[in-house]
Formats: sequence, C-alpha cells, structure tokens
Amino acid sequence: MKRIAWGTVALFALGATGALAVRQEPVPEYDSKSAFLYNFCVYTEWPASAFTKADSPIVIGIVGKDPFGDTLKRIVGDRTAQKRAIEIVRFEAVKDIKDCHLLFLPATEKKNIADALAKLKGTSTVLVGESDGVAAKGAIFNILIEDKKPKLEVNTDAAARAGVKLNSRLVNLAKLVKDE
Amino acid sequence: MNVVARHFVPPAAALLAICATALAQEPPPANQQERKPDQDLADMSIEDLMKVEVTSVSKKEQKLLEAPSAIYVLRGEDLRRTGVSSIPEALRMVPGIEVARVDSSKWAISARGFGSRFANKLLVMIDGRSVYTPLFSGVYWDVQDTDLGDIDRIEVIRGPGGTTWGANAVNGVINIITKSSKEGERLQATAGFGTEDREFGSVRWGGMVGENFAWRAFAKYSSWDSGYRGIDEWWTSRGGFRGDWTASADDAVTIIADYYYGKRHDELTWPDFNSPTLNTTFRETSVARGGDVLMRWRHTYGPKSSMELQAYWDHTQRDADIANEDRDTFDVALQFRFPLMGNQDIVVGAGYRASRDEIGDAPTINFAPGHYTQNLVSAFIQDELTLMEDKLRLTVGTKVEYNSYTQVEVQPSARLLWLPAVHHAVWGSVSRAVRTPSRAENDVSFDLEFMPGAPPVLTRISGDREYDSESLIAWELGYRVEPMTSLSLDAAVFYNEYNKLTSVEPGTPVVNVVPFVHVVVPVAFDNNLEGRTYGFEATARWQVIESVRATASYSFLRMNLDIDNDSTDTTSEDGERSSPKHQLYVRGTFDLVTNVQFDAVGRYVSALRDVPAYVEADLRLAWRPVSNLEAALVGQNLARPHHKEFRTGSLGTTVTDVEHGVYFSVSVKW
Repeated sequence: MKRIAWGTVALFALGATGALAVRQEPVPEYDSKSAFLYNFCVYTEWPASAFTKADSPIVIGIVGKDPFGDTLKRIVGDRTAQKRAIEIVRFEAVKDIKDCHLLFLPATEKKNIADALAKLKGTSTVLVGESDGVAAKGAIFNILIEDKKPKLEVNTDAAARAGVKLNSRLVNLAKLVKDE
Repeated sequence: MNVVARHFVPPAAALLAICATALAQEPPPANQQERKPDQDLADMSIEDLMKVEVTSVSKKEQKLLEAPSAIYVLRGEDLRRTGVSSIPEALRMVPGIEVARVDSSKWAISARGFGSRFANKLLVMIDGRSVYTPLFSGVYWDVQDTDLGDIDRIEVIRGPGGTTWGANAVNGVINIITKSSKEGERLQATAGFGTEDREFGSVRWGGMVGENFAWRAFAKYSSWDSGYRGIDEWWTSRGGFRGDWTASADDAVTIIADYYYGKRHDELTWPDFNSPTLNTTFRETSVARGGDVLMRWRHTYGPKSSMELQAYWDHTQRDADIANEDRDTFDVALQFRFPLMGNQDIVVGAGYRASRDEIGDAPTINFAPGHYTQNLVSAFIQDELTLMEDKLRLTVGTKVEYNSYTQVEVQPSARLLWLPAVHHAVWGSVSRAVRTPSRAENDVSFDLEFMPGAPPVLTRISGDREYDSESLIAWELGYRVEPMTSLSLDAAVFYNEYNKLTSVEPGTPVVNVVPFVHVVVPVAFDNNLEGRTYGFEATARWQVIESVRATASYSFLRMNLDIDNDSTDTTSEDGERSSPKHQLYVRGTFDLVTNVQFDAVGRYVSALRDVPAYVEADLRLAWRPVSNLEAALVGQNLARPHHKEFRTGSLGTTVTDVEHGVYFSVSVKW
C-alpha cells in the first residue's frame, strides 16, 4: 500500500516536472564575460599587420590576477573567429604584457590602466576592462554588470587610435563613451 | 530510529536511486527551452547574451579582503546548499561562533566565549532591525527567522562593533540581510517533512508594480520534534512583506513588515512549597507572537556620499508560565556618509530608541516595576583615512551613547589596514565596547529550585539598581591572502580584557518558617568579575576544481575569569567552561553533474562543563530534474543517535539532547 502511495507521488512529481515552464538561469559572471570576449574576437576587425601569418591565432591576454580561472578556456572551447584559432595567454603584471589582440584588464588592475595603455601604444591591441570609467580612460570595450545584467561600453576614439574596426552590431548594442 | 524515520526509508531510497540514474547518464534536455550547457553561451547572439543575468560576487569579495575586522560572510547559497532550516543552525558554519542547542527551541549562541542561553555580548540584526531583547540583553532565537531562501547573506563580525553599532556589540555582530525584492523568483513554493524538522512549507511570491516598485511576500510554517526523550516540540508560522521602491535615480525606499505566531513546549523545574519533593517539574506551553514594520530611505548624493534614514517599530509578546512579556520598541536612525579632503571617508550618525515593556508576574519570577521604558540616545562618527593610496588605511571612530541605566557610555576604536601586495591584507585594531545593563539585571527577582537538605535551601536571585555596564578592551590582528583565484585564507587573533563582568554575590541567609522551615539565600547581581580571553580563528576556502569546493575553519579560545578580592561569588568563574576551546568545521560542496548537488559537513566541538566533546556530520543531496524544480534529501547530526550540546537551560529549563534527523523537501519556482 505504502509503495503504491510513493509510486503515485513519484509519478505526480515526474508529470509536474514536464509541465513546468523553464526560465533562463543566471550564469556566473565570468562565464558571461568569457562569452563577451569570444564575441569581441568575432566582431573586431584587426589590421592584417596584427597577424604574422594568414592562419595565426587571435591571442587573448589577461593581465594580473586572472578572474576567469579555467572558465574562459572552457567557454571558448575550440571555437574559431574569423577562421583563426583563439589562444589565451596570461601576464603576471602590466610590465610583462606582450603581443596580443585582446587584452583583458581585471578590476584589480584598474589603477594600472595608464601604464597598460602606454605599453599598448602603437599596437592594435583591443583593451577590455570591467570597471567603472575605464572606457573613458582609453579601454575600447568595458563590460559592466548593472542590475545583474551585462552592459557594454565602447570607446570608438580608442578603437580608431588602435586601427581596429568594430562591427556595427556590437557598437549598436553598446553605450558609446568618449575619451575623458 | 523512531517511527517517522522508519517511514522515511522508501522515499529516501527512491531519491537516491533517481540520483544514481541521473549520475549514470547526461541529463537529456526536457524540452527545447531547457537551459543549454554553459559553454554554449559563446554561441548565443550578443543581443541574447546581454539579457542573461549574471551572478556576481567579485566586488563584495574584494571589499571583504580589505575589511579591517574579523568578518565572515555566509552567503544565501551556503544556507541553501547545507539545507539548514533555521538561523541558529546556519551560524554553526561561522568560525568563532559557538552554537549549542539547549532544547528544541532554545540555543546558547555566543562569539569568542561567554556561551549561555542568555548570552549577552552579541548584537543581532535582521535588515537593520536590532533583535536582541533589552530584557536580558540576549536573543530569543526561536523567533528570529525569515524565509531563508530570501536571505542574501549573513555577515558576522567577531570582536567589538560598538563604534558603529553601539552597546551589546561586545564580542560580535550578526547582520542578517535579505535580498532586495527585485531579485529572486516570481513564485516559489517549498514543502517538506522529516524526523526532526517535522513538517514545513513556505510560499513566496513577488513582482513589480509599475517600473519602479518591486515587492515580495512570503508565508511559512515550520514544526520541530522534541529533543531526545524530551517533550519540547514546537511550531511557528510567519508571514512577511518587503517592498523596494526606486523613487528616483538617487533615492531608494525599502519597506519591510513581518508577523509571526508560534507555540512551544519545554520542561521546567520550580520550587513548590506544596510538593513533597519541594520542587515541581512540569511541561510548559508558551506562545510567542510579534511583528515589525521598518522603513528605510537612502539618498545618494554622489559615489561616496549618501544619506540614510531608517525607522522601525517592533512588537513582541511572550505568554508563558515563567513570565509574560509584552514589548514595543521604536527606533529611528539617521546616517550620513561623505568624503573629506580627498582622502577621508566620513560616516556620522545619530539614533534614538525607546523600548517599553510590561511584564506579568509568575509564581517564581517577577519584575519590579512591572512596566518600564528604556531610552537610548546615540551618536557616532567614523573616519576612514587613506594614508597611502591602495596601501594603508586607518579607520578611527567612536560612539557616544546615553542609556536609562548607566547614562553615558563611550565606545571608541582604531583600525589599521595594510595592503602589502595585491591579494594580501593585514589589519589590526584596538577597541572598547560596553554591555549596558539589562532590565533583568536591574529589576528581576527569581527563585531557583530548592536544594534538598535540613533545612532545604532556596536561592533567590535579584537585580541590583547599582549594577554597572560590563566593559571590554579588545586587541585584534588579522591576515587575509588569496594566493590563487581558487584559494583564500583568513586568520584573526584576539586578546580581550574585560572589566566589571557580571558576578552573583550571595547575601546573608534568612531563615523562614512559613510554610515550613527553610533557608533563603539572597543573591544579587554585581560587577565583581574580571576576564581575559584570547584565541584565534582561521578559515580556508578552496575551489578544488570547477565542481568541487572545500571550506575549513578552526577556532581556538581560552578564557580566564577571576573574581575580585572582595567578591564571594562561587559560580561565575565557572563560565570559563561554558564555551568550547576548540571548534572545527569542514565542508565539501560537490556539483556531481549539472543538476545534482551534494554537500557534506563535519563538525567538532570540544568539551564543555558536563558536556562531552562531539563530532557531528550533515549531508545534503539535491536533484534538479528541470531548472525550476528541486528535490532535496538532508541528513543532520548523523554521527550518533543523539548528543548533548549544553549543560544548563537556565531558569530551571530541562536540557534535551539533539537527535539525528533526516528530512525531504521539494521546491518549485516560476
């Protein structure tokens, strides 16, 4: 008797699970930011001079303490962008920055943005920040979280200086920011 | 195993079987809208990606690293993942906090020593509302609750917080903070049953009115079984509302209201002149009910300058054989924050609180006068001074308070934070805190049970109007480091010097002959105890791999209490043995597959007076077949059938052992 009762409960529960509507679950912050970095690889056009070979990879650099852990690698997987593979490199500090196409400046490195920009001067590296005000200071992209949703800032002046073209689809979604 | 536990085995086995099946194979998507595996985020259109909510903790974590005090934050997620069903049980996770269950509905909770059912050196707040009672400067833990799913975090600060929070924040401050009603599900319902957590259920729903007003409301019911061989079962029901109104870009208004009603039982022993054994033991039934309304307005002037005005009214009523208490508390506080000269961050505030009570007499306990209003006026200033950008910060401040019993009290503190390198923080502090007298210490008269003998002896404890505040000078030092993203370590050492702690001084015995010959020993509260305590707490959190997290904490405490030369107190020094010397807590959090969660907790608490050391274990297994349904099986105190956690229930209350228990719950959300 008891078994029948439990069976009924189980059936009911299974039925209920099928009937329930499903909503999008929140994702961890750096999962979302990883997907943004991947999209930047797809929607940014670098000058040919930024690559040594036609099949050279797009290099994403992360400076300072890496907030992604293995998230970025996992999200990007073995995807390609513009028929190029994507590589991830890490730099201990701003002074260690080497050639890369995207450079992620974590919030913990915000105060070093001037040094990072000095280091990137004359290159077509796209600096990506995640802190208030860094787009106005010269980062091309800035991913902010407001009310739990990602918000994108783009500094087109900085993009022009770096000689990169940003896809209008990306620019249309972003808040445009001028140099300070 | 009791009857309910035996009934429980079939569903438990069924759930385990289902989980095992889920483990054996990747969960198939229930339908087209089922959440994609997270690596597919990269395949989403950027437009969609911008609509996906993120869970973010990084900014708070950064601030935590740089807090110049021994702070520990329990996330709402920690509460859900461990399956704790009450706030006192949740506090077992916090290093430096001692939680001992006295009986099914009573706890002795303290920080850094002085554990007692009437522990009085801990300030507890729920959403900015102080919940300690001025009756005994402690907390009625059985009525401190909310919908646990709505708790955003519980911030626990060990050590004095008197400079900002005022009297009673002597050994620690607990801040229970619920989520803004903008967060969370529209509708969520949970129901469950078990052997110790017997039947429980909650419904919470929320929504928006227009663009700027978010609200939620909840109702819950919980019932608990008695402790081992006890008759102390209880139940409670509660409802609450929260509204968050974004009045303008710079103005936010929060309104919170609660109501609760519950009935509990316990066993009491009283002196009874009509009883042949002179004492009578009986089952007491008490009803506790109450409610509160809080309003808070925050206006932002700029990034570092704001104003906050808060007012609340709290009503609480307990009808029990031991005493009836009816209390209304009104509190208003105003606070400003602003920068000064570029490198200073100033917070100033002022507050007023009135607490009016009416206490009915009981056969063995009475308060004179029967009703009284305690007033509290306070003001504080705190300055955070950046001495070297991103390197050295000094926080100095003081609170000045006026209270009805001891008039003016001053509680200053100085805290220094040094950031020697990125991800390293060292802090040190010296502070003074006071614990102002409670209503009981002034006005109570209470008879303990008869001690048999010829003639029998009756101890009568009474309040003393001359009773003064207890005071503390605390020295603290702490270090935090995050050597890797996946690892963080936190350690704090303290040395506390207490003055004028409560002692109980026996007076001249009196011989009474009515109704028979017995001796009455009057005992009065006084301040003839001194204390020195020292210890440390260390916590490590390690993200072993993406799906496995480990947390471990260890707390060490040493207490030395000594009576003054002119004191004849023979019992208070024994308070040393009411707090554990060693406490260890370890927890593993496993995401077995995307929809199965497993958590395991191990706890060790060293011996107290008349209470042996114990090791306990809790487990939780949760399965989420689709994203809005979760089934969980929770086992608590699984190491042994029952164990004792505290020696005395105070006021003649019988202590009962904590029993092992298991419960099952289902939660759905839309």
